[in-house]
Amino acid sequence: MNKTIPIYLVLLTLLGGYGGCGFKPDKVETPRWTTEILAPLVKAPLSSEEVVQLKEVNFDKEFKMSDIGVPNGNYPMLPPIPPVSLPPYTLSTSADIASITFASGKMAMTIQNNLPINLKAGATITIEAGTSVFFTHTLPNDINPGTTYIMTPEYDVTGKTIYQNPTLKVTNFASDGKNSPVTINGTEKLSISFTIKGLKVQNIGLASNNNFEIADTSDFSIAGANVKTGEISGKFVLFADNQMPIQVKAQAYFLDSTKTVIDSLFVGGTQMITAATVDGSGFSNSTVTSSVNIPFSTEKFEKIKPAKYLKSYAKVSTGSGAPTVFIRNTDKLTLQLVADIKVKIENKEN
Amino acid sequence: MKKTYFILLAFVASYAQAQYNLSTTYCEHNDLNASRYEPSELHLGKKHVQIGSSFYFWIANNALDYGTIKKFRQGTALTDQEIDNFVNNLEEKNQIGAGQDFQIAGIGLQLGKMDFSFSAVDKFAMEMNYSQNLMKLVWKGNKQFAGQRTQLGPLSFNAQYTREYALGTAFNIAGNLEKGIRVGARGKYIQGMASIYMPKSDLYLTTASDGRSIETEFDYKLQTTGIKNFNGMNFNGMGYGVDAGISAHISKHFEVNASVLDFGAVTYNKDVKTYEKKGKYTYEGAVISNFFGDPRYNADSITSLFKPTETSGESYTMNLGTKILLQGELKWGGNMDEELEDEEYQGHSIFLTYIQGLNNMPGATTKPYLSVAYNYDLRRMFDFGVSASMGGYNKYAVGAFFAFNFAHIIKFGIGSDNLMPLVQPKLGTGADVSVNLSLAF
Repeated sequence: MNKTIPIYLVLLTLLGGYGGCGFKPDKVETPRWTTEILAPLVKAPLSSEEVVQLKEVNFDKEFKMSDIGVPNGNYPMLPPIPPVSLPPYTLSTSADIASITFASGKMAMTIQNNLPINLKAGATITIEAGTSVFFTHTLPNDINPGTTYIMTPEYDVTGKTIYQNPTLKVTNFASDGKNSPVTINGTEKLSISFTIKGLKVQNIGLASNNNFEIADTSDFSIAGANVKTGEISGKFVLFADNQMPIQVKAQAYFLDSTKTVIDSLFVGGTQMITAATVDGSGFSNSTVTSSVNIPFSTEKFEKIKPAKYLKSYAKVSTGSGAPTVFIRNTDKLTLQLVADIKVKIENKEN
Repeated sequence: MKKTYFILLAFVASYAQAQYNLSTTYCEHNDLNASRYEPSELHLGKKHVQIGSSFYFWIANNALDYGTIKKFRQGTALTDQEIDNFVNNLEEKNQIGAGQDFQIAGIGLQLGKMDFSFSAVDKFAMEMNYSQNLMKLVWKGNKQFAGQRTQLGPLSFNAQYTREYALGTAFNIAGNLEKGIRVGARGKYIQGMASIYMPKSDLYLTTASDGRSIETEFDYKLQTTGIKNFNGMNFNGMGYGVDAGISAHISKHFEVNASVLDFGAVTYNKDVKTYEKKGKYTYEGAVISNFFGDPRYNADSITSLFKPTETSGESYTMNLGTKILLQGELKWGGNMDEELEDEEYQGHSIFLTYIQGLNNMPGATTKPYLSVAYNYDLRRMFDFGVSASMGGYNKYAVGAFFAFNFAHIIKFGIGSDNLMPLVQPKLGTGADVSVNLSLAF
């Protein structure tokens, strides 16, 4: 994925702009001076959805004729099938996520019947986990062979919770059969697919001792930045205000045009953003602030100048031995970059 | 004795400064032009009519000296130390002022024991206020203010261009000019052509000690009139003012004068634009949304916070630069009768003047001002002298003045309260010049 991260451009634009300003009539030599800046540069409040990167939920299942007791072979006709239950199927979801409770969202269901027989009205499709039913729907009409059924209206998932690896059940499956010869070779399928769109998460449950990684490579360039400052020294400080019960180890790497690492953002490896503490139910009850100093100098600036890409990396994890923890949609992980630098402003000719 | 006086003057001059056109009061004492600053001093002597015109220009500030400006203009880089010194030597609140008075026409009449005057004067004055903290911020950045709520204001600019018509009189209410009390007053009708007025210019900056936020609080109001389509004959405001004074002639050698000048105001009610904004904004960095998607940030919303609301049609009142002037004059030498054309006459006067502005408006400052001057009058034909002053808009000033009275009819004078840039550039923070011309018969 290529995209632009403005955080650095903002910073460098600021430095470039600061260093570049100057009153410069023909005969007047602009003064040189050193100024100390202590100021927030950028702030990125990350929501639970951004951290977990949950944009859309998809899952599907295909049933074959064998699932309804009809093995491959040639048949002069297929008799009507009385209502039966198809074998329950476990939908595979992310191993990282124990549950998702939706604040809003619509789930679409599409059934494509590529079986040689119809699916009679009255069949019921259910998604459940244990005794918790997430979704159930009964077909209002028959689905004839070679046709597609699209559930209307879409299912409103607001307030619903889906747990890890739920079970898909199709019950009351019935068919009128087929009165002509038919060959079953295993390619005949009944496909049921689900897509949850426009979702807003109320909370996300993460199992204990769980971790997942986010890595991303963005376009990055400061080659054109006109930093006229003669000298920059000091540091940037990355603050993290974490309301989420997860810890994050982060690092970013500057890559050249061959995607070879030329420098890293943090000196001394990945930096830890401490998890918020949780209550007995697994919800955070605090905001934990941590900070990382990023020494900065003109040399550092020159070193990263050839960079063409920025690879950011974050390892998100829950604590070992802790119960399932929940990230609410109101929980934020706010990153803030503060400049604490001394800039020597110089006349360009100096 | 004379030598002692000169040594004293020279000593004071080296520590002193000005912008009140006192050279006119020292050199043109008692005449029409000087009475604009001391109404009770209007006295035409044995003349009955005086016609006069005068011009006065001044520019001053309390911090930046001419030596530094000159060096900067010559292309010589200022050293860090020089700029450090400038910033560190600033006062908490600082002023830059400039102005000019042009008395287009003035007429004085003496009828019996009363003197009367009429004058029409075009006046322009401006003043800018700025704080030391603001300059410190520009020079050394905001880190020095971490953890503090810092007042960066005032940062204001006021200016006013008016035309005033004044009718005045002066007369003795007791005794005579050798020993007695004389009062004088001038009533003024004022037309306002243009003005810029900033009654509020508060600005506070709070930098969090860890740098995570910068909070600005601002409350400013700017009102203008006659700026876009300036016309010297287009009057956007009207007002009234009063000058009043009293002179006590203790003896023929000593008198004191107290005057209140420019008491009044001008109300502008045409072509008025008002810009104002009050608010508080905490900046915590440009907010990036959708960090792991397609990052976006928007800095426009920050500038919009400071964008003022603009309204038209209001009216506002600007006070005149009101001040109190106290002056003592010690005089000796020759016959004090001013009309004696005594070829042997050698008059000496020493003046001590204190001025206290009652507001910070164009032409006035609440910073007190003190001046001492010596005037030598030779044969009632030549006046010349020197002055030294401190305070007001300037730091220190020395001045000189000269007047020539031709045939006791035509008097031409030129003077300055502030020639310090020529004398001591590193101490000179302003300059002024006055030119007076009068015809008496």
